[in-house]
Amino acid sequence: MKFFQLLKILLFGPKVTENEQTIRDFPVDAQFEKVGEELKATIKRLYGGRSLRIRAVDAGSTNAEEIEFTALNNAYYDIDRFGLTFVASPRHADMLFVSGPVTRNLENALKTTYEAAPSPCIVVALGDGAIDGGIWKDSYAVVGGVEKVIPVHIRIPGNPPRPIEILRGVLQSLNQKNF
Amino acid sequence: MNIQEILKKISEVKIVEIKNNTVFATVSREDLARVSTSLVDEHKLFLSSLYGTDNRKENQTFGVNVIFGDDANHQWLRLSASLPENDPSYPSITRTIMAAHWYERYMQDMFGVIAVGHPDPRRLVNHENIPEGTHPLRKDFAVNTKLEKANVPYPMHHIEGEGIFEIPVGPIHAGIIEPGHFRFNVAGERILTLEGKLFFTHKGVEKLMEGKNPKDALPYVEGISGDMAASHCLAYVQAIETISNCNVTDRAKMLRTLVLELERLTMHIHDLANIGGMGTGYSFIAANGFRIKERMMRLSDDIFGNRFWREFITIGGVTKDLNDLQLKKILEISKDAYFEMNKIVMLALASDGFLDRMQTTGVLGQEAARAFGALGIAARGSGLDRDVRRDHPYAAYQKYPTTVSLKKKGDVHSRYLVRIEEMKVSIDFIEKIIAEMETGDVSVPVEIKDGYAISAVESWRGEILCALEIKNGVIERCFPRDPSFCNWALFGIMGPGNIVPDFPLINKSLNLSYSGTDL
Repeated sequence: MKFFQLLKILLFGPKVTENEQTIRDFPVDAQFEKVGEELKATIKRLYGGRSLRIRAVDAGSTNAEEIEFTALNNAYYDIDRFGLTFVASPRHADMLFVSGPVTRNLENALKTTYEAAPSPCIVVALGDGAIDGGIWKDSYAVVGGVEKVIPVHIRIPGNPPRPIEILRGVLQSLNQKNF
Repeated sequence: MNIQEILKKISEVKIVEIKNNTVFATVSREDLARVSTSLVDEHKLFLSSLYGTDNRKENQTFGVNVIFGDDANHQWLRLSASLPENDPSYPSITRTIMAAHWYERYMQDMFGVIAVGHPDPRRLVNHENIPEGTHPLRKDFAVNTKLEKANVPYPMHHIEGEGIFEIPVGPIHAGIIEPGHFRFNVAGERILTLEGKLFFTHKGVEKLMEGKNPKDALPYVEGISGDMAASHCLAYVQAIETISNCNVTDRAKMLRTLVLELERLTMHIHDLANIGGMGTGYSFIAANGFRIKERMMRLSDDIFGNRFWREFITIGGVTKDLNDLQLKKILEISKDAYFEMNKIVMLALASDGFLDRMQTTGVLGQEAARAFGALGIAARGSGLDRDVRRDHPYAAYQKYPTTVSLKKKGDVHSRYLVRIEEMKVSIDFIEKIIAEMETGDVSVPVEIKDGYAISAVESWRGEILCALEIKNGVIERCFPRDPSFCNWALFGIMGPGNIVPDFPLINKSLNLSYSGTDL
């Protein structure tokens, strides 16, 4: 039964490949590509041909930042091609993306994550909350910006920052500073 | 039998007020648990929310408020009991109604109100670092209090025996997800018990909102859970509008419904892709699904200036009108996204390997779903026929009836199918609303009055219930209950019996919000 179903899909089923014309017409985000290419060159210069490895840490965000991190991997952005990649452990990371105001309940976890990462580890505070606590900073449950817990090297404002803003922020700081 | 008739039979309950399909009633603290049990067991109401209030300034009492939903009669019931200041305790409701479990622990941490006889009176929100006797939602606790660092034990379930291991996971996970800690007790690969420790992202939303002008609190509401900003916002503004007797224009209602359905479509596409891709490693569907979702997010950016359907719904209507060109664009892109995604899930559903992972995984029986108060996709995947859009209609759902998608088996596959069907319902809604869009103003001036109200919205995750009280023009108490809060407890049922590698799949099949639960 399954076999016939498969055969049916194979012969009459929905087409999985786009035709050539639609691929050609695929809108290219020129601005994004430009930032990406520059970033690629910078990473190559700094890391000698290997990727820049990023570990994402949610220190109390509203989960919008996480959605944008996930978006960085979709086909529109696909940051792996520029030599940036998200890794599963801080022990493999060159860079931490920290989002959200640091809550009291996550203070220790954030510290441990930073300590687990090999130095030098570049810390990026992503979003208004991570920079100074944002609208949450007055709360009893919030410690404040990321810099109250671990050193911060790059700050990217936004609520949350768009994918292109994230890359632009990383690029600018990597070019300016010497870590 | 509607709520008034039911209450007539229960002599202990006194009706205080009936307003807009909501019955407000009081009961003594000794009778609260018994009456609640009778309402749930005999009269088949659902325990929808439970929250505390601090009324010590007015009458030296704490309040316990239980909200019941009557789906058939489109009514809500708020049953309140007062507890004296010097002895804030009452007989626990959890002993007979499982759905009250987390609420009572939550209230115990936040108010210091004791549910006597609670089967599991451990801490919930307050982690190790919070000193004993900290009750943030009491009125004498200042929002900017700097707490000492304590080290109070936060015990978790632990079982011992030959060949039994404990696997701790989190709070920082390997993937890009929110923080939460899970404890698996396993024998081999099979899960014996599974417990979560959440509230890592507890930011004190409720406390931050207190004492604020309702307008100024909107950013906090949108920040409860980043991916359901529109739904939370609508629940909150509807509560304000009910209190203030404000009638929103038809066009605004339709636009609100439109943006809610767009949010639902976007996130269902995300979930369908995520369950396949990240849950089972079927990357074809993830690659395509995330691409399609990005188009929806760009559509939001195009129309509203942000990628999360935010900053549109506001008190008294919506922030801006959409012109025909924009509506046409919304219809075009969302329809295209739907058709494309539908094609892809149809391919996915023909894959035996994918079906094999989903079917019989993470089964939630209907009885358990009802007992734990499951909401949204989790409820409908287990044959529990609940949907706020139909049971307590609001905005344009009053005019357009909803088709509720229902599956019986309760496994990951059922929840997957419910999402696919809801995607279709959403796109039909979007089409109908845009075709029959009313003309007129999109916002009306609102003079905010004092009072209280309950407002429910069916977000893409499930029912949001926002209980709001305004006093002297500022927020006295707001409890925006996210559906995730009720659904997290389900993992204790769904996890055991499955193998550890299936847990991420079960988790993604519900896709609960940590931020929304933790508040």
